[in-house]
Amino acid sequence: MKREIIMIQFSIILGFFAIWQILADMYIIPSYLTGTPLGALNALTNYIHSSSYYDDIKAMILEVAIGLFLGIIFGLFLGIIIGSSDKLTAIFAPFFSSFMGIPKVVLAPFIILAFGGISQSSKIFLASYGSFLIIFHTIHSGMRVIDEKYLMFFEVYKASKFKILTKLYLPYSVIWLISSLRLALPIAFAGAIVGEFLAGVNGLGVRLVYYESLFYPDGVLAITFLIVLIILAFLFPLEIIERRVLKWR
Amino acid sequence: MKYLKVKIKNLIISYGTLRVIDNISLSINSGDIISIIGPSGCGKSTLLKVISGILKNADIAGEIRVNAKRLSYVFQEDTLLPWRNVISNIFLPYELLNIPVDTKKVREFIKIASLDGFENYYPSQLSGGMKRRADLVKAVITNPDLLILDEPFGALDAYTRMKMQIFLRNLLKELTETTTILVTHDVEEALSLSNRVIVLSNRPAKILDEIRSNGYKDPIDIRVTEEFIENKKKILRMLGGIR
Repeated sequence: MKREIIMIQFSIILGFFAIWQILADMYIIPSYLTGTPLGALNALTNYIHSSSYYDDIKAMILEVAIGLFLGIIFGLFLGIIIGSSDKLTAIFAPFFSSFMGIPKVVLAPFIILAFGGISQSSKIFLASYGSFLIIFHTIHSGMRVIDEKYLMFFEVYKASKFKILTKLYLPYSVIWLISSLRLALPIAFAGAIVGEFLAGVNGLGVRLVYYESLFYPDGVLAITFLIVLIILAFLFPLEIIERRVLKWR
Repeated sequence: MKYLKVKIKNLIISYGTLRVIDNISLSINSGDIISIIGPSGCGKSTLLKVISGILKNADIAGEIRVNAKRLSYVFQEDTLLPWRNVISNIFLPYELLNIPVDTKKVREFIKIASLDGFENYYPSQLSGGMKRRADLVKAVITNPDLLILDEPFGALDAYTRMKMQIFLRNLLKELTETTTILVTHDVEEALSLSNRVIVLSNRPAKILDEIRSNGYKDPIDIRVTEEFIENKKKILRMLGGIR
């Protein structure tokens, strides 16, 4: 059953690219604008044999990894602190909600400037900012709906704030953290890539803009595939972690 | 040696303009098993919360003294943490009180609760009755000197409920030092498990009467004794407002 489903999914993807390739070969779609899957494959092979390939991937993954790590730490910390207090929620929730509403792309040029242009720190900030907002928002919402009975139970035992944090809030937040990561991970990638679009030395986003400026659609397509593959490679282990950690469900 | 465990004098509790408890006075001795019975919404849970010191956002007047070193509270719904299995849920009170785990006792109580073999199960894998038993074991495992039970079997079916009452009786037998306050709306449960039954009125709650019972000695047989039936009638009349 599972094998069959994977086969079908694989066939759909393969079929999609085959049709694309055939239509391009028959001049029905303009391959000088859209590129072709085979052309992209060729571009990808050339790129992988180039010297910049390793540095680009390393730069992007580093930005996303550090950005996401910071997003998790701050999202978890502030989500729990603010979410567990009515007063802090009343004060800060409107700020975070309005931040959520501002498209990150709008802030990107300012952040690039503020962090000194081509440095990696601006991309890390963009990656962490987007993921932080998602993680914070999910954990904060989770904390608001925590069942009162658990809090009363801890209160009956006169548990210290630290014990409530470590034995109730943190394990409880893990549920929300894991479900938020599915959204936060692609957002972190988006942040890093947008940063690279605007200014940067290395990174797949830099490469993408470079190929675009050369009017090289096969190259753009190749880098796009590569980015998608990398994101999927990160999402897949997330699912395994989710199954492991949330086995009690 | 019996001594005064809980003393309440002229207690009045209101939420804003809504008066919930109206001038209640009550003394509870150590070792007592006392049931509080009354119509739903009359303020029984409020009374328990004020005794446990976890009542919030209420105006409290009157005197209330609780002489308990270690208190346990069983809520209407179980408080098993869903990410902890049965055994680590039972360990939780030890962790919160910073006392070493008494493994022998845990094993013994798990056996009494017929939970042996289920130690590593998560709450989501247990039936309602099993969850309740695990929750009760969790509440009594650290030898509380005051045990508060807030309609612990309200959500269970009649058959499971009866079994749980017997289980609770066996558990209370092990805890001779423990004072127990049980809130219920089941007259038979109150009479068969406790030695004192306090009957509360509609909100704002006042004490209508107190009935002595010796239910905790034998919760099943006592149900057919004349005294039991008389007491039951009396309480039902009181609750129903029938003279």
